[in-house]
Amino acid sequence: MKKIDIFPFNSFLLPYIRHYNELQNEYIIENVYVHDKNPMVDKDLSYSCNGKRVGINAKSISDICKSSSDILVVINDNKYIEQDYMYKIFKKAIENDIKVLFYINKNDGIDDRIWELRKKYNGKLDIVYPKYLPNRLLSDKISLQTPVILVGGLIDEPDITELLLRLYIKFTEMNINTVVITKSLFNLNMNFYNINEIFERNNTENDKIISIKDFVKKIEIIEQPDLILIEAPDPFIEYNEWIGNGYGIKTYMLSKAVSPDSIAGVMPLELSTAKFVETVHNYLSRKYDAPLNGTHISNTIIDSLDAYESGKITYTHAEINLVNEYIEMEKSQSTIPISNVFDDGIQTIIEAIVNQLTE
Amino acid sequence: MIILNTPIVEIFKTINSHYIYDGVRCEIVEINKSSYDYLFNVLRNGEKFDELKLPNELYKLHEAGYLQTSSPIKTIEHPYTKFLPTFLNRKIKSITLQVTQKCNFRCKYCIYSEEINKSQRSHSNNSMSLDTAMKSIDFLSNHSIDLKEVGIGFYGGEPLLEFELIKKIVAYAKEVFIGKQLLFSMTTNGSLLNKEIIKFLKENDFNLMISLDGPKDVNDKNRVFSNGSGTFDSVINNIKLIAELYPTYANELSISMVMDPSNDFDCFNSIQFDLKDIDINYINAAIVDFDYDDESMLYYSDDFTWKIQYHEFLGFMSYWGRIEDKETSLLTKPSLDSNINNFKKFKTASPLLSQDSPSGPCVPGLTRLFADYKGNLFPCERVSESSESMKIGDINNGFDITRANRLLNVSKLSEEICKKCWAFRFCNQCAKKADDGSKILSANKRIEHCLVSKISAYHEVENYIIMNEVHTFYPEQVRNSKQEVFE
Repeated sequence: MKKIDIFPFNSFLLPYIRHYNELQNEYIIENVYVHDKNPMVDKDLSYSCNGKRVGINAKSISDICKSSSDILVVINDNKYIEQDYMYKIFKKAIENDIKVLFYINKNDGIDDRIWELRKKYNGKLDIVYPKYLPNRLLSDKISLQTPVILVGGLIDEPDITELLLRLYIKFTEMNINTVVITKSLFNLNMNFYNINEIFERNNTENDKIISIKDFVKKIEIIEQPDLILIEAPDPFIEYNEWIGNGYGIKTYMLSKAVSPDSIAGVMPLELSTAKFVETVHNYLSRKYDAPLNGTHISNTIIDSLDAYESGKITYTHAEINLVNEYIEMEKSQSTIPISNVFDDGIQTIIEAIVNQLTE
Repeated sequence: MIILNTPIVEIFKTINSHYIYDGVRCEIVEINKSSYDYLFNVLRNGEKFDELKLPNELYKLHEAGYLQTSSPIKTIEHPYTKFLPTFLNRKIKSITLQVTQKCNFRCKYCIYSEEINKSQRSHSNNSMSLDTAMKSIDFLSNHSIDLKEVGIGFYGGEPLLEFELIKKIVAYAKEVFIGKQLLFSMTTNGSLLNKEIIKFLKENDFNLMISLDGPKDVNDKNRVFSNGSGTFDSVINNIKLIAELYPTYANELSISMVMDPSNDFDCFNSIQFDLKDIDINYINAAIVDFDYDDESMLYYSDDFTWKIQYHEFLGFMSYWGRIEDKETSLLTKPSLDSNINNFKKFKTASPLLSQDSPSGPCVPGLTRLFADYKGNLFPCERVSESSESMKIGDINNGFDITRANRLLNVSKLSEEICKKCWAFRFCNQCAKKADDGSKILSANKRIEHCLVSKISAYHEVENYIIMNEVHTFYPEQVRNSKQEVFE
């Protein structure tokens, strides 16, 4: 197996790192780096979400000089990291005989110095774009035959990816040929697709919806899956009348292109009452024409005072043990499964989805 | 204090109608004049509130759960109490560094002057060491793991007396916060700005707030150099220098103004004309702060009071689209914006809960954490650094959660009064109002401020009611053109 290092770590990569060995069998994660003065240095990666231990401590990127890995995976999903800084990291890695895979959205520009570096060290620096299959299929005339499960949440949080990957792993164990469409750029040996590019295009909403239709239909033709799991591109719904939180516009467009058959959702801790879950279910059923078949309760707490003041959704991560306390209080009162996927809750959600799809 | 058996409501009268704000249901209800008169006698003249002999309309409202005389609140506890350690450990938004206590000004109302505000620190020559500054930056980094955006503020004394230190701090912070949006801000008296400093501030996109109290005669009455000479010319020349060097950056400047309300409001307001060449968009005008001064009393002149109210009125007219924005006062704009922003309260406020907390106190340290030159931590820069009860920790030992919790739940001091207060959801009393300089927070001190807070709440509700009476959907021209179409 080839050894890989990952940089720069952020909490949204945590689910991929946690499950990487279950998602593929060609690579093994050796080191995960953050920048030198990042507070994550020497801490277990789970600290980023105050969650369950992963068993890998973050390292300072300066340590790349000591790495014996084959590949450094660099993910360009943070607009506050300048490419000049990335360039220096690439150079260090290449000089240490480590190949660099630079994952970047197609519409994001790449600095000339990085292109020059790529030219200079032929084969040591690859630019990797998300897996996308452009094609015009007239899919508005050819409908999708495969059931689609939409996985999302009320806020943009890493546990959505955790739920997505756990569903994928479970369905795969059940010998269900499952295709995944995700938001993440990281895709080394995982065969996951990505529709970021469509949303970033400067064309009409109508054209974007058609492109998504074509894209998913093409995947269906190529992969012939039994099931398609799609990570919602933005939070399902607005936070309240004043804080749109994206208004779920992208997810709504997605649902117009690919009508979901079932929804699995992540709910922040303090909103996870049975009554609220039912309300969200009713809302989603109307908006997306599909039921909420199961929820994972995350340990996130929305800073409602900050939301009121700033109009933005920010959150913190509570102690993980509180999740089960909340679930115990609420689950008996809810008709929709409320569970914690970190504690075998995925099985309950899977059963509810299967029941829905076989109805 | 005797708490009478009166309904937890407040009454309002406009030229069009009569209303109650029900402090338990947290709703505004329109009532008829006779109901208003009945409640007026109960609330203002101390007449008995007999639940069995209410006028018909009020009887029906009472039956529907309004006009309750007892509070549903069993315990006063802030909803963040349980998660306070988590929030303070992982989600601190910004830190303001007191880079120095030195100041080249000796403003006559300064909260740090030796003569007034004796429960605050005084002017000194103390400055923050680079080591303390770096530890403070690390402290913010270690306590903001859940945020993508953090802020660092520079405060004094006059922070630009330590410009070299500020440059080092900025360079260090940029290394520490790679991958996060980093916002710098500074409050300065503006007298030390020069080409080099302005270039640095511009390049690092500092949010710059310059203190200026108005035109020369008003400003120089209070804002003076340590030798007693006026500061206006120096500051205004430097503002012009910014505009000359970086016109776009100059348009983003904010002005911080301290108003002594014994003056005519027009004195302050005329600053807009002095700054007409620079497109200043924001003036933070505040009244002289005597919170920590038991001896000084504020005097409001008539020409201050009616004129500021008139400009607030113009602000509302502008909001309704009846006059142009440029005709309104920049001094009253922030409070108007905040007032309008607060209107969401009326739609989002839940009825009182069995465990609840008045709206006043912030979560100490979460949004405006302040580190003094020694690295002691306070909820913000506006509290007394000499007060033990306001200190919530230090950069070496971390937060003192017990103290922070005490500030968060300061309303426990006045629990029984708060429970029955109609303005529970509008209270603006932060923990500072209960600080009498001793080691523990004072209930009496807090209760002393209740009247001011209730008056403010009254105006907020009154404004909301009036706003809702005004037809805002279509400006006059549109209505006229619609009429023409139908004719």
